Amino acid sequence: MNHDSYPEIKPGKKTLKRIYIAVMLFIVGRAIQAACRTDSTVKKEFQNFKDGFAFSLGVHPFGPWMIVGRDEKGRAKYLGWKPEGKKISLKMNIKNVEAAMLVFTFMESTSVAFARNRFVVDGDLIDALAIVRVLDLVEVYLLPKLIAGLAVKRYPKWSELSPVKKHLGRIVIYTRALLGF
Amino acid sequence: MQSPAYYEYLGRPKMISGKRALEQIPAELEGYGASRPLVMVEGATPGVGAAITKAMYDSNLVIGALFDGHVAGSTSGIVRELAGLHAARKCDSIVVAGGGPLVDAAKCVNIELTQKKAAIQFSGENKIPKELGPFVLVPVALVSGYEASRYAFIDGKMCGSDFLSPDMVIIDSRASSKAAPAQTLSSGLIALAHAIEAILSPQANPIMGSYAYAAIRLLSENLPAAVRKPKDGKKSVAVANGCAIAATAFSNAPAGVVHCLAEALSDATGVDPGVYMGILVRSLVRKRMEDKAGLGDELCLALSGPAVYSVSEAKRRPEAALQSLNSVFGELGNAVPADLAATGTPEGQLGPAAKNAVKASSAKLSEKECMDLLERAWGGK
Repeated sequence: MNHDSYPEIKPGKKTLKRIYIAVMLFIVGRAIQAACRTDSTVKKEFQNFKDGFAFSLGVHPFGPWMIVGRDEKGRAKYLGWKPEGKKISLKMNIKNVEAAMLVFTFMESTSVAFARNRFVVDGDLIDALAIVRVLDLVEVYLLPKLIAGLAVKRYPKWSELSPVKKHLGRIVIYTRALLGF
Repeated sequence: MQSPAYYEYLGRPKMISGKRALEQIPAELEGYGASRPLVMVEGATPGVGAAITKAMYDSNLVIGALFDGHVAGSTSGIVRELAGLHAARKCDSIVVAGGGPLVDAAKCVNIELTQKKAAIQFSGENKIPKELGPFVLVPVALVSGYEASRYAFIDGKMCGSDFLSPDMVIIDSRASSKAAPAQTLSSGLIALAHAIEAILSPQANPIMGSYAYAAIRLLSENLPAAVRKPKDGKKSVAVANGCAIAATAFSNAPAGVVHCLAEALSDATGVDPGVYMGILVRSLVRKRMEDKAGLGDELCLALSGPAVYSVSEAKRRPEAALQSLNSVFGELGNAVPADLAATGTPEGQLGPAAKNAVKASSAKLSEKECMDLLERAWGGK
């Protein structure tokens, strides 16, 4: 058998998809920071985390990632996209780029992706579930109902999140996310 | 449901099926500490190699070698060459996409590399003393029925060991929809026969029954459509699931009379064993209906499905089950002959086939039982 007929293959990269995921993670990271200052439910979730808590959400093994931490005042702070040198209490990695694309193009909601074992979670599971709740709420603010309905486990009723609060919150969160505070 | 007095069941392999299943391979192999697989694909099936290669993108996995040659049969020669390729490229695992002799050869490569001896030395039952290297099966069409099971063939001899079951079966429409209609039909009929015989097996237990039920339902509801339109992703994935699940049940049950007779006839005539299994299994079901033992509620439920089973009177359930089975074969049309005579098998082959089936069987079949079934199947009864 001529071994040269059967080559070694180093894997390529899915550059466009990684760029898309990186942009989505950046927007979501900044939106979590903004939502913590805008929505009382998100604020409460972050106040329940321990001091110095930080979580990363990204794609295994080469990224991209987003890192969000809890500051000393109990608020969310977007810490960038590089996990190196940061003390991360909770790592939520999506196993591959294609699974991340399913989540970030809303073909699978976060909870369905969890159920389908597309995530690897390294850290406290209770914290991970709190982050999933935060992500669901942030997606409700960021996305129109038609798309958010695909992304979240259960779209909140009017009694839980009134349209006025939702739309005002959306404007504030987008503004804060773009301006970075 | 009562638990049997004693039973054993090995539920290997891990099954991953559905959207983007191929992309799970790198993360799963990482769990085994492997990152450099030898990937073997059927050269005759275009697109599968490219799909697997692309599924590895953006991972820390390197494909040590991509073998896409034709493997006509699992022989010591080809296994030795492939083992040499595996060792030369310092591979640490095997991913095989295909069926039949390619998968047999891949399993035997795994034996040779782990045991450091020729695979033929491990032919027989339970001769492999320890766990083999990580082995991933990506079904295109499981044409022999052994691919996802605990068996492999080398030089015409069977190796049986729990360690030969794949670690993972990855079912993705990008591979399963590449099968030819004849391959889909054959693999489906073999799996259906294996599943039915598993339920009827004297070693049947609740877990085997669950697996066999799932396999029978998946195949009954999807096989005819998958044969008509093999490129239909959903149907091909359903059939591949049915085949892999049936193989697990088959691994835990002794080979039944239909399996042994079909193999013996196929060896003698060269006709696809799936066709023989399709004819013989119908005759077996009819024969069981007439016997005191009957079909049993489990098999009736599996063949009819819950909707038909629940509206049928208790004494009419076996008839309803047979009717459901006949309607599956009806939808397959001329693809499956109605009786053995229509396959072109010489009648004189039946006696020797019965004798060979008895020799090959581990389940203490009698020649009388085999001839009885063959005669029924000859006449389409």
